[in-house]
Amino acid sequence: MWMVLLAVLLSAQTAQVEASGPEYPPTEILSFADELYRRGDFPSARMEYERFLFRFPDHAGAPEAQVGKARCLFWMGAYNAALEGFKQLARDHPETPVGLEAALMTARCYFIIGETHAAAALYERMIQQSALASPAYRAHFDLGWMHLKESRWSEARKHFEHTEAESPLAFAAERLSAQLTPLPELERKSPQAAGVLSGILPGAGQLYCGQPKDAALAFFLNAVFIFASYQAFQKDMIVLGGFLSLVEMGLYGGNIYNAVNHAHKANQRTQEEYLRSLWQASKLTLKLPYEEEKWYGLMLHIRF
Amino acid sequence: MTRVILLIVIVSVLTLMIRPLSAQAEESATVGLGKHVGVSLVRLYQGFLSPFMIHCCPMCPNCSSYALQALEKHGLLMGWFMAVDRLLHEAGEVERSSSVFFDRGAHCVYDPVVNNDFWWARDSPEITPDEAADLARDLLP
Repeated sequence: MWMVLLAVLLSAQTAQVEASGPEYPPTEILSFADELYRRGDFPSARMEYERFLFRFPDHAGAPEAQVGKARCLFWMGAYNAALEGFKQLARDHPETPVGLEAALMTARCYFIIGETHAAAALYERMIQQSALASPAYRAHFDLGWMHLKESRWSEARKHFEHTEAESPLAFAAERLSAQLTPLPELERKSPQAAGVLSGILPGAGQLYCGQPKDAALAFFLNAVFIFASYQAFQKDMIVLGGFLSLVEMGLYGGNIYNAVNHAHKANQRTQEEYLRSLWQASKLTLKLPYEEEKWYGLMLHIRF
Repeated sequence: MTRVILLIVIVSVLTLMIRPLSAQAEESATVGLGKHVGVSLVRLYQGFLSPFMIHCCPMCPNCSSYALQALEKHGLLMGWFMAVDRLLHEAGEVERSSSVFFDRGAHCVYDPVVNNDFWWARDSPEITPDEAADLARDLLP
């Protein structure tokens, strides 16, 4: 009898424990999500932020969780999804630190996806509203870098010069501004010249761009097919001659495209090397908040 | 007479190949036909000739896949030119490029279509300066 009673009591206690389950306070969920974010485990952090928002949608920490979730999407490369999140936050919390931060991240999302007009307009607006100064120095720096990437040296220098002296980026901005005085003149290859040279003599444009292997191959292939087409027509092999002529037209056009492409790529490499040397010369201090450090690393690699 | 017929054939093929370079141009039926002809020829090569080729392309995507992507994206004429460009710059790119990774037991140089048409086929920003100004006022009242 007493065994039956004991069994019943034990079952009841187990059921009670199972029904209640562990209770995590909202601050603990949020701090765990922040810790996962800080470690760089963005998918897990995003899940925790979503868990928090699902369980405590009206909690005071909800805007912070929304910012965290959008940041996770940003660092996971889902820029369009992050953009929508940041835009909503900026609209929902205007003229607050959360809203301003969201506006800055919105500008950065636009910067990355190539919507340069939108990014520039947001940065300029932040600078105009420098009464709420927190993001303004970052807006100046980001805008300066955006102008650098588009080779607008004087506009870039102007923004670096306007970076506030008290900001963490002041030292780097000053050095970048100094590197841009006088304005640089990068050695560039003319794509038009490369195209014309290859049009006149296959391979000449490639030589102009410093690609001797490609020049030799282009010259050889075009010479062979032109000679073969000529010989085919001379020997009244019309069909063969026509086919070879068709192939040669493709090779000729491809040779011109190759020369022009090399010129553009050479200019792009020159610009990227210059920007990298500027970055190294700026000696940008990495004693920055975690997100800023990651952002400036990403900005160096953004290719328009 | 044979030469006249051949000339007519060549002109017809060229007409099929001509495609407006503007990204906004609508694709006509003849342009679509030209593109499909090019894609079919590349697939023919991939199916019947490529298995017998000893040389393995050191680039990723390989040259025939690159040609397919270029034809799909830009049509027969520009796709053809880009395919020839890829054949010409293949050897040199291995030395120039830093985008090397290990794939299927060999080193590959990453060289997608977008790395070779960025200077003329780059998407323009969709948001105009006026729209951008409105957006900025909306988000930062």
